[in-house]
Amino acid sequence: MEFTVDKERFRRSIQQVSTAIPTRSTLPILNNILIEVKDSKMFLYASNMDFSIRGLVDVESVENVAFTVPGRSVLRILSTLEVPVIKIVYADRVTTVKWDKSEYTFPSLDPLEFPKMKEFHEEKSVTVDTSALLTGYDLVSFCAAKDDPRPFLNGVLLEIDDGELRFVASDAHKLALFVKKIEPADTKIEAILSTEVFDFLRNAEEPQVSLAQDKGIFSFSFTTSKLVTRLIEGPYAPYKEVIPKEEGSCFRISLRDIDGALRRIQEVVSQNNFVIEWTLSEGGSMINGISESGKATEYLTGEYKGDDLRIGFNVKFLHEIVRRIKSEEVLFYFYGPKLACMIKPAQETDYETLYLLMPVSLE
Amino acid sequence: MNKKIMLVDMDAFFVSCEVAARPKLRGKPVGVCTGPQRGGVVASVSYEARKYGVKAGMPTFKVRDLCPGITLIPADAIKYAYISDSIMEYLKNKFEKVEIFSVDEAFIDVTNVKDPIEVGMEVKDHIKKTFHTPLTIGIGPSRVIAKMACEVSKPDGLLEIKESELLDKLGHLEVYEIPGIGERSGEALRSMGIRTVQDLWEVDEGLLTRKFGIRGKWFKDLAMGKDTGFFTLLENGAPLKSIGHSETFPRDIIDEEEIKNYTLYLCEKVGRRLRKHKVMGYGISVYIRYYDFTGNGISRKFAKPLFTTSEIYNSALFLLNQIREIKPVRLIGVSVFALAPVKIQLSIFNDDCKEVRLERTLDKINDTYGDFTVRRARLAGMQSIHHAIPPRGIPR
Repeated sequence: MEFTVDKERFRRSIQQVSTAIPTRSTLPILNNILIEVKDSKMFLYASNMDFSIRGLVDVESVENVAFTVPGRSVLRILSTLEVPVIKIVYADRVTTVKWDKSEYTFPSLDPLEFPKMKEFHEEKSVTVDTSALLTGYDLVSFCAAKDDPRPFLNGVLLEIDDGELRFVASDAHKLALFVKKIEPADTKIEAILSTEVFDFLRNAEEPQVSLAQDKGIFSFSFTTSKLVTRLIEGPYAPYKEVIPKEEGSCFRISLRDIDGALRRIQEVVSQNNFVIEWTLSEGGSMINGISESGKATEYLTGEYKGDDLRIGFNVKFLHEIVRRIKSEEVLFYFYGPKLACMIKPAQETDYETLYLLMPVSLE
Repeated sequence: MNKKIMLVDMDAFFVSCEVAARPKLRGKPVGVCTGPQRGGVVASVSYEARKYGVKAGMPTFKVRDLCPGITLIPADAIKYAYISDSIMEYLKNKFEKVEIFSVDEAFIDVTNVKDPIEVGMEVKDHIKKTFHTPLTIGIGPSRVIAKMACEVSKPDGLLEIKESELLDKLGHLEVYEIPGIGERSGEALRSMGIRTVQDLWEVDEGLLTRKFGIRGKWFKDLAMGKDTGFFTLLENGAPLKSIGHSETFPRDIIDEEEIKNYTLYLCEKVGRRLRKHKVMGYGISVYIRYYDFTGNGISRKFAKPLFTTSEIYNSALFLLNQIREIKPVRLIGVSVFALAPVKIQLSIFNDDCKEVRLERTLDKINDTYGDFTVRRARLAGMQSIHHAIPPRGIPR
């Protein structure tokens, strides 16, 4: 059985589905992509058991067939290839990829061994801008934990209701919230998603994506591709309860100044101790850092309104937040030396972001 | 005035303590073993047993094969710590500057002592008469040379090596016999044709630096008797650089759960010492050695410091799983480094601080009523923790 396929479409589809191929797997089948040709349509599947991706490419074929190919190898081969069309031949459990006089053959594993993609009724779905999802994710995901024993902290919370798209991520020391107004929809979404699934959106070309959720399963769907993932078990931490309702003592500073100060001070404190001591009063504000490699004092130019305060922070965490602020000025709201500091951009955009950072106890 | 360091090093200390209590064993092959007598390892062996090829760290079954007449005695950590404390107390009363380096070694600054050999004789006589434990004393211009003087004059020796005599007395030694240059570095030096201490003296420093980086200069300094800081005990005054604990298991283990248990046990020990010294670590290293004496290690630094036993355990296990091969394990070591004074990162959801408070409370109970009086459920059935010998470092 043989058929031809547009090389560039095939490559792009493999690239999109291959984000589901695990880096290391004890199951050899998972290093492969399952290809199903059915009624002149080629479906490509990749899975790491937590999530699966399906891609679709039109082909010229008269027969229906299913086989597997080693995903990453084929992608690398196609990436350096400059031909418009390739021919794929499948016979006796061997797949051959051909163009001009060149050909590559791969033994196919049993397609029946490939894990089935979970399907569910998606009548209730909601459509949002792909770019809005990616912006929200990029502004919060760095706050998610990496290997916290509480699984929900290792993911990001995606909520859609009341005409709002919300992203929340936290590692229990810092928390990020992103809110954007969207067209109100009947369907509500509340899903804790692994940070790995969002790479799928980056490879997409369509401006809008459809989201659907059913019990423990969630999907992102485009016209020609789809990702289905297991949800991380919740409930998520009660983030609304920990966001201060009042504004507290406020420190306003230019983003450039605070970013520069934090970058410089890390040269001293980052050797083996990330703690800085921030002293604030209406007369002036300064940050001190001390470690084996030296001592640093930065006087800050910003304006402070509130009670005198001495507070400690992990400078790495603080700088991670400041680096994500998209505004000329930053607002820091303080509530006490042992309470979370709220950090916001001073200038408005078409979405809201808010960060919380817990201090380091200096006592 | 040139510095003079004296090292007081007890000979086969654990065995000597046992022989002092059982004089009939004097002059016979004796070993002190950890863990059960069958399946454990020997922690210390008498010089009579060493003649048969028995070495510390050998499994007891192998020891019995080599030396069938050996008397094996289970380790009694409390006894050794008591005798060590008494000896160290005597040294501290006699000298101004004493650094207790381990349970059976102490460095003494004797720069201002008129006749260190005579004083060394006094120390030897007093300890032998009071505690009936033999010892060796090495004197040199640095800690490393004092240690080498001890090594070449053991057992029951006393030797001073002056700066001018270094080449005559130590020049013939192989490079890996210099404390601080292990077998691997020794092998690398040998591959460059540098076999002895004298070769290391004569080799161009630039050549060493090109091959080993900053360690190259350090190797040369060690050989030439310069005080490099190696063997400097940092717990007395200067800041600690790392806190670690390793243990050879009573028998080789392969069971996943048992490996986890031992790892937790080691992490608990490291955690308690971290909390005792009021420091936390931004890095952790793990070392594993297998039954065939092969091994490997891994280190990692984190943005969030390690302080509680659970944090150390989770990180250690994560690293261990990255390097562990599926074969019987003989030893695991866990060490926390990049230490800094305790400053607790507070938690938004208020769970982490609860754990810190819980661990501090457990430490208080165990400090009062003895190690592992209250222990994690995973350690509930572990017997071998009672056989633990004081780690290298301050006895308790």
